[in-house]
Amino acid sequence: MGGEALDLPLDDTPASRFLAWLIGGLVFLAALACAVAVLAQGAIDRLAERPRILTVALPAVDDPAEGEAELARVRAALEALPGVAWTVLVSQEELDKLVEPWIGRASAEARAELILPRLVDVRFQPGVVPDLEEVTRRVRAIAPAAMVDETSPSGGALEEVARRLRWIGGGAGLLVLTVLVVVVVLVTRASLDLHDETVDLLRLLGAPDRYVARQFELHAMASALRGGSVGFALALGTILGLVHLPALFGTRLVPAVPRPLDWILLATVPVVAALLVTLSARFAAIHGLARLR
Amino acid sequence: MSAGSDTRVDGDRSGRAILQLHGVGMRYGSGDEVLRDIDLTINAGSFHYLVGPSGAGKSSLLRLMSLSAAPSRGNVVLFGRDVALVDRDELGRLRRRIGVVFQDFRLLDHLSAFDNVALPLRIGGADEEQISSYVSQMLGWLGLAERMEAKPAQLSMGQRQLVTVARAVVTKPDLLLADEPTSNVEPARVERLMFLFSELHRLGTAVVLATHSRELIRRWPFPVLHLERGRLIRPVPADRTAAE
Repeated sequence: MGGEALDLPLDDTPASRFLAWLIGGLVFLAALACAVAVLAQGAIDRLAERPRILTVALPAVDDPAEGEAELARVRAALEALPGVAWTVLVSQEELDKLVEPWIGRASAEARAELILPRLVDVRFQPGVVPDLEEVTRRVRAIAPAAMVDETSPSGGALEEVARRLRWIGGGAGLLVLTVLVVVVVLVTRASLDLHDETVDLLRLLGAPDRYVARQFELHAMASALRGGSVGFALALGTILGLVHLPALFGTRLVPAVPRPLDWILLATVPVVAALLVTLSARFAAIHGLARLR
Repeated sequence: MSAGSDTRVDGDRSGRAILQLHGVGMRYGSGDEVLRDIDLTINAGSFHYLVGPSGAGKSSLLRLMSLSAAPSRGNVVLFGRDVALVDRDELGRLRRRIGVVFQDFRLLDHLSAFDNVALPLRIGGADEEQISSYVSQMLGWLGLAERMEAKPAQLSMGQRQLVTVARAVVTKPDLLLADEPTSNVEPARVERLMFLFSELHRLGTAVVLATHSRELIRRWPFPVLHLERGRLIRPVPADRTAAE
């Protein structure tokens, strides 16, 4: 009593009975695909937040005292800029290493004869994007021939791989959700055909299409909640395993750890799946019922 | 009154036509017509028996009246609406005003007797409290209070028939169509069923009851619609049918 049972025995057919399992499997795959996408996005975000470095090249001057004074003014001007963490004068050893590919390993006398610019590295706070033009303008107000370049270390191959993984993960997630919709539509249509006599009876009793469609909708939603919960739990276990287990052995399989926002995004996968399943079942049932008078 | 003419019969208190069939013919697929030239008016609050030999078209006529089949010609006007012209939602609303006792019961095997009877109320949007009250009352009155939770497979044929009747009348429909509703029911309960139908009739429901039972017609005399080879031949006075 009390209306718990559906008017249509939708669990009686194999297609309907296995719907929860199918949904569980697809939610598992969708969650994994989305995890790849969000972890890749996390890696991209972290790379974007690495401290940016500008290098200011001040041409050599004849008078060392004048050079020291100019350098001090430039560094003071740079350190007054918002977001600058610190500035440092590139040491002679580092300068030697920089020119070594061009002049080879030269003697101290030979190096002394080279007129090299003085280089100042300007390191910004993480996440701060330097305004190259503004920095250049400030520096040139003191040293008109100064050059300013960005020398931040590149994200390199890791960033490129992360970008590709983000698209692959997102695309795979969408593909799996599309398959989920197709499966639900096919199962609903098959169930509608299998239960045509009961559907006919409900309609003879005056049931409008939305009432009959609601039966399929409720069954699909229950299957989505059951299967989706199991599929998502398994996916979570897999993700946590991939992220944390290798750490026990001192290695790392996944180059990023999910952030709180990533978990929230992942948690939307079963919710979106349940919503899609419910709407697909409703659409398929309404469409199928429209064929009947 | 000759075949094909408008068959208006007694048993009508309000005189308001709720069902009209005009020149109706019906065939299944490309076969011969099983109903021919049916002109019939059923008024609100009337009571008719529908009689005729097996294969005369009684069930087909009831199917037409219950909107589970469409005529191959002619038109059916139900509650003032030409059913060929109404949209799907309106069709549902019209069907909700009809109670049907199917000869083959058409109960849902996975539902209890209670839920089978509750079905039209749920479809009509009644609240669960109302449903519980109406259904329990109805099944109790029909002697099935102890069997409310039983599935159709656990019920005898007679009990199934009573559940079918309960489902048809629980909404107090404007039109009740019953196809051999007493055929499987034990005699003591036939009395009860006929009292139920008579009460509904008294309260304003138009009843059309298909039967083979002359005993029924004799004991509860109401006008008779006689079908023969798909034609409605004439209204037969109840006393004459009983005598036949």
